[in-house]
Amino acid sequence: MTHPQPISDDDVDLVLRVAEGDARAYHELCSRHAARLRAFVMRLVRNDADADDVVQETFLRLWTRAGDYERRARVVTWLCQIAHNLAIDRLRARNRLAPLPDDEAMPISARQPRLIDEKRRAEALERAIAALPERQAAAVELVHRQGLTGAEASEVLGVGSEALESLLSRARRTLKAELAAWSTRGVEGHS
Amino acid sequence: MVDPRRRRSLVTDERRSDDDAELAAALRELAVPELSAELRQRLAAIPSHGAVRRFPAHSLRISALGWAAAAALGLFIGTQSIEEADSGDVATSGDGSSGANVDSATEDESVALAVGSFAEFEEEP
Repeated sequence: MTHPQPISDDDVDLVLRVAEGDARAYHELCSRHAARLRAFVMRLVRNDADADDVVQETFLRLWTRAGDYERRARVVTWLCQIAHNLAIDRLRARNRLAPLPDDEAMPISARQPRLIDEKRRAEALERAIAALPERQAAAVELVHRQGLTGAEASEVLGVGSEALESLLSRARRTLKAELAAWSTRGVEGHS
Repeated sequence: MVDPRRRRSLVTDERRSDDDAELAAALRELAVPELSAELRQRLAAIPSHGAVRRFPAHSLRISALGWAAAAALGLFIGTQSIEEADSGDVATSGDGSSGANVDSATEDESVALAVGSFAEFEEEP
């Protein structure tokens, strides 16, 4: 799947090539986006097998329906949107998706064991994100990790800008509280 | 001179922006998990295995050809059967008597069945 030299720097060019049946362009897009896409999907489905299935189905759609791509959105946004829709379908089938207004996070400290090692801050943050409701975690993943703009993230998640901001602000509040608690515990642990 | 309420607001905003920046930096630093070997293989196999799904008309064409061949075979067998039946009628009606006897016997049995008389079917001792 990895190639010594990228065949094009432009994702759009690669998608156009995929639409013509260029397997190399497909592999290049896979190597660029699959890992991040899976990280995003994992925030929603929280299950390795489901995340793998959704990513595979997303790239199958890329291969079979690359001609449907419209240049108005970035390729990463388009892929995230496909993956998001597939993940939501999967969650609905499992009846697991929490309704939007009721997805306030539980206090994470109550669910998570205390971490006193400063080197494990990333792990603590990772767990804190995993403990967020799916939509909040997905919003954080898209905006803070995948580098999507608010408008792009809104499009992917199918919510308005205000709803996205609400998701992000609740998520940030929870994560900041968790980071602050972690710092306090870290200082206490070292003193 | 800064209004104390304004100062409090500035301090809060600064702290909030510091917290936000710290959080954003921490989120950026998180590593992206690598794909499993199995998923990499599944993704790599899509162009070769997905090609079948890429052109569904191809499979439809095969299916249509199969049905057409089956229909042609059915027509051929049907035509042959009709021809054989026709030639059989001609052969029996050639001598005249035997065909007529068979037809009349079958007709009598049918009439007997219709009127509920089964004497026609009873064997004489």
